[in-house]
Amino acid sequence: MGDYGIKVMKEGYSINDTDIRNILLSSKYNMLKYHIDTTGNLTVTAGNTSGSINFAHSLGYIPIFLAYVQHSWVESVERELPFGRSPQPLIETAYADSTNVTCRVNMTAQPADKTFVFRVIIFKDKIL
Amino acid sequence: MGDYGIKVTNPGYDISSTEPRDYIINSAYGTVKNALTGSGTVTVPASSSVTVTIAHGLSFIPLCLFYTELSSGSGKYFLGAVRLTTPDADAGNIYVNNSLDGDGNPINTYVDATNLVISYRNVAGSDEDIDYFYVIFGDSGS
Repeated sequence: MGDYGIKVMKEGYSINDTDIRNILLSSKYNMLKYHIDTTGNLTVTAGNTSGSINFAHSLGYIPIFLAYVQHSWVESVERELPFGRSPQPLIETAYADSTNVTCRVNMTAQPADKTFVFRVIIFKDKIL
Repeated sequence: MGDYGIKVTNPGYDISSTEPRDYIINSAYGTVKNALTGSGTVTVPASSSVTVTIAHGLSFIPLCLFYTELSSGSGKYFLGAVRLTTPDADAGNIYVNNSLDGDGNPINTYVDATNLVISYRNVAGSDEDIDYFYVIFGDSGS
């Protein structure tokens, strides 16, 4: 064997199997490494059309992340970001820079306050 | 022990834990592996669209993520298929095409058993160069 490493297969699959889907762990393939999983609330007050919330990650580089939103005034489920698109009346997006993951809301003005519960999962793996 | 495998817990958690979140790795649970990561720069022509096609070589439809610095030089990488009202303070004049055709079928941005395809649209009157980053996982998206 010309190279060295670790390889663990799913139950029932041969160690010689080359289908990546059958591998649990292999030093040939990186896996995302968990950094933080956190939530935060953003309230867009009545009559306003946008808002944003920052989640600091302290990594010093731009990380891979996922983001979800719960429209707390109407549902308990979480929806994956980005949600909606222009020209729809509600658009939620997220971006990362070297300091924060920022979740944004753009919406048509509403007669009552709306509270968005964002959840971000930030990995230690770099975008940049 | 009637079965064999490998399991490693997070610091502070007992190896007898039955909570999957307590593990770094546990052969009882599948993992998401990075099959392919990459980045690039694409020129989005003025008032037009461009398509980025990334061959993944996996022969199945994989899970994937992509991020785009929609406003060149901003340092802000947006997750996924973002379409904001342009121009936008953070996203500039670029958005990701993720619309429907005349029959209501999704077009432009998708992943299939061969490629990850991302379509960008520029509403500005001048060409823009933007950076993108992708992760394609060695696990089925379907």
